[in-house]
Amino acid sequence: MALLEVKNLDKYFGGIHATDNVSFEINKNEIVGLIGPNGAGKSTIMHLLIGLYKPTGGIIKFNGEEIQHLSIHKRIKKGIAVMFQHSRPLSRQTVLENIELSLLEDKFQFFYKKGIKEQAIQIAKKLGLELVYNKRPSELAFGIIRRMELAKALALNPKLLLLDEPFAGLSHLEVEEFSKLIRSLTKENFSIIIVDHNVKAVKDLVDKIIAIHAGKIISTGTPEEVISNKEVKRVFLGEQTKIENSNQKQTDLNAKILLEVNITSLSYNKAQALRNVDLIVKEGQFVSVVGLNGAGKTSLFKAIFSFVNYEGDIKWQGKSIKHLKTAEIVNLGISFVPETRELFKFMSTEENLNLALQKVEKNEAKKRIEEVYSIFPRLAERKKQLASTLSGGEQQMLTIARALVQKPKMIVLDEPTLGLAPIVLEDISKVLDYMHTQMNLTILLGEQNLHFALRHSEKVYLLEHGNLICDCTMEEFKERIGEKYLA
Amino acid sequence: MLIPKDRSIIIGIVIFILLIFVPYIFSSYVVGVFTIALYFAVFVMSWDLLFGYSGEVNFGSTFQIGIGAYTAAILNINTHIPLALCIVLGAVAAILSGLILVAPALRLKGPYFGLITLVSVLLLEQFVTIFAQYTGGEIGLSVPGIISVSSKINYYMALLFCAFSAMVMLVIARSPIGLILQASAQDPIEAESLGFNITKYKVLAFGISALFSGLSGALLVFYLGTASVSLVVSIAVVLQIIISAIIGGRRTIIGPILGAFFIILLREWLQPLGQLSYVVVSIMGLIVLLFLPDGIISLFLRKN
Repeated sequence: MALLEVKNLDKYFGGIHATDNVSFEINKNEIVGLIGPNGAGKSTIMHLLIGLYKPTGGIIKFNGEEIQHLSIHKRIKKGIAVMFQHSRPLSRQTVLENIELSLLEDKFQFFYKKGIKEQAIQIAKKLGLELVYNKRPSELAFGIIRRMELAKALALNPKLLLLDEPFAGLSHLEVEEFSKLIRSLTKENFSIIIVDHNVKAVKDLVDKIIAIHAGKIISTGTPEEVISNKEVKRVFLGEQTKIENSNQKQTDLNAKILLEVNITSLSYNKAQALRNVDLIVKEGQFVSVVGLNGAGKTSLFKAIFSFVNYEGDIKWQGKSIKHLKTAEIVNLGISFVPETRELFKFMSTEENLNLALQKVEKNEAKKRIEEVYSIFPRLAERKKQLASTLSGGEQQMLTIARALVQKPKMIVLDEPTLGLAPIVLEDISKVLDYMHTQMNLTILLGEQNLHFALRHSEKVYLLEHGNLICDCTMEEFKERIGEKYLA
Repeated sequence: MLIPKDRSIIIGIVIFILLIFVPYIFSSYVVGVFTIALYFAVFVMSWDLLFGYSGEVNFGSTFQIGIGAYTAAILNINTHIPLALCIVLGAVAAILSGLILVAPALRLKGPYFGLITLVSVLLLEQFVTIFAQYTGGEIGLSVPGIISVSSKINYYMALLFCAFSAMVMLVIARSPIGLILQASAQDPIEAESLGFNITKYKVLAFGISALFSGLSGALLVFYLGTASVSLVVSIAVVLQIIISAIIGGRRTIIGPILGAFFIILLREWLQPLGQLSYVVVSIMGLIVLLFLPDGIISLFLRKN
């Protein structure tokens, strides 16, 4: 009998079908990778497994017992443990005390049991935390905190361990060490599910991969089988056939520079997200920043819009915008299409657009809205509908439309293809083409879907682990990196 | 590793020893002020147990205090049961009413608990006014029972009660329960994912907080001989409790005692200023917050 059986699992969030009839099994002592690009619905599945969300339909059986209706703590007691990607450990307590927490029983106890500390030390030792027993999380590197989180999950003595993006935010070296650590766990007597967006990172660790896209399982099998699967290739890398550049326009090399980025460093507490990133966008150009999830694309865009602090400088038409506020930067003529879309969920399509036009005279505002409706006829049909009830693709169009009505000089798009079906991708692709060639907009695009980015771009920057490792024109990119990277 | 925690206990013991000598040094009027401060300190500690450890803001701790105080007072006036029993029943009423009206909100995520506690106090205030024939309305109640006529005995009663409350709450704060509460305040989903039914712990913390609030409210009534809205129910009292906790130092249990003394003694000392004294107390509070964001107690705890 399988340890975990998931049957016809369904989850809707409003109009979005986040988990679509998902079924799979995990056997005892099996290590499984749950893989999919960002927004594919892996997290939703994980949250359904631990009980953070209740499924709209379907069955989750653990050890032969249905658990889909149970609350989180009851499922944990049955033998499921989870290590979250983002956790907030006890900040005033030490590493050992954090591990002790997880050894406590769910009972009112006024005193600590004898031996609990020794138990915590034992677990900490196993994970190589000897040197930091008495340190607090705030004094520790990101990678060490991740180990402590793993220790906490192991302290629960689970039958099934869920690891949520265990490598996210780690440096190259830390990724290697952490993989080793996970590999050493495979000798223990429990099953592991590794949830990750990166096939490469997990393929050597797991017995089986379940690939997810748009809430559905698109392939299951051994890592080799899944990686060579056509559908998986297409989802992860985009349409192979359309690699040739559809974009006919080439910007004059002497065009003036609009945006100049020189970031020496950007970090969040312990984790350094960007180092030495230099990038130039000329007027009328279509520039892409490509890289896997976690490479630092979003951080770069956040820096451009002053959402985060950084070392270095960013110039707009020759003038530093480092010390400007976000609103001031937008008013200079740069619009942002964020990865998370950030629509006002309980406002209609038209209200969302109108909100972006508060500073514009009324008739002009109307005209501009009509203009974007002519680009996105779908939005015109949905103009009275609440943003939360739009499909993912429609929401993405609305986000782009909201940026367009502001009549920017340059538009910055962060992962516009995130979690979208291939057919919607086509629509978005056409819009980008139109914006670039017909509207003469300067575009800066962040993408993990290489093929999508390559189709449009004149210039490509490749980010990996916060470093810019290629800064080249399309031809150079294809020659030097493209084939290798895609393979 | 446990130095800061141990140190706060040492501070507590030092405060206790110093307080023993108060009646030998000061006039009986000052001793009276100290007595009130001791009961008030229990209000603040109870609030701190709930906010500091479980992260839930109780904007209506005077709901529990007021129920405790009024139940004990009404029982004392209308029945012949002994004073001690009145006080205990007051505390029981505070816990039960709290569990029925307020605790269900602890299951919800979001600001609901704080909002409901706020509403509960406003309700109680109206309730007292509407049922004026039992509660004395806006004028308040005079109770026949008193703890003692001696200011010394009253003071030592209050001191023992305060020390006992502090001990119980410190034990809980430093127990596995306290650790689980802190974890659920920090990251509720992760705390659940470690297998803890966090609602259970929050309800317990709320119950203990209600117990001591109710007890202290009832005791205060029999010390002063009166129960009134402005004394034990009004939102203004809640604000003083919260400000005291912040000034003294949240999440320390002992800090709130310092904060309570700071507020009560300062206000008494500034009494000649009349209404202006509130302004001065508020400004002093702001200054403490600006320069000691972790409260007065952080002066005595070494940072590492």
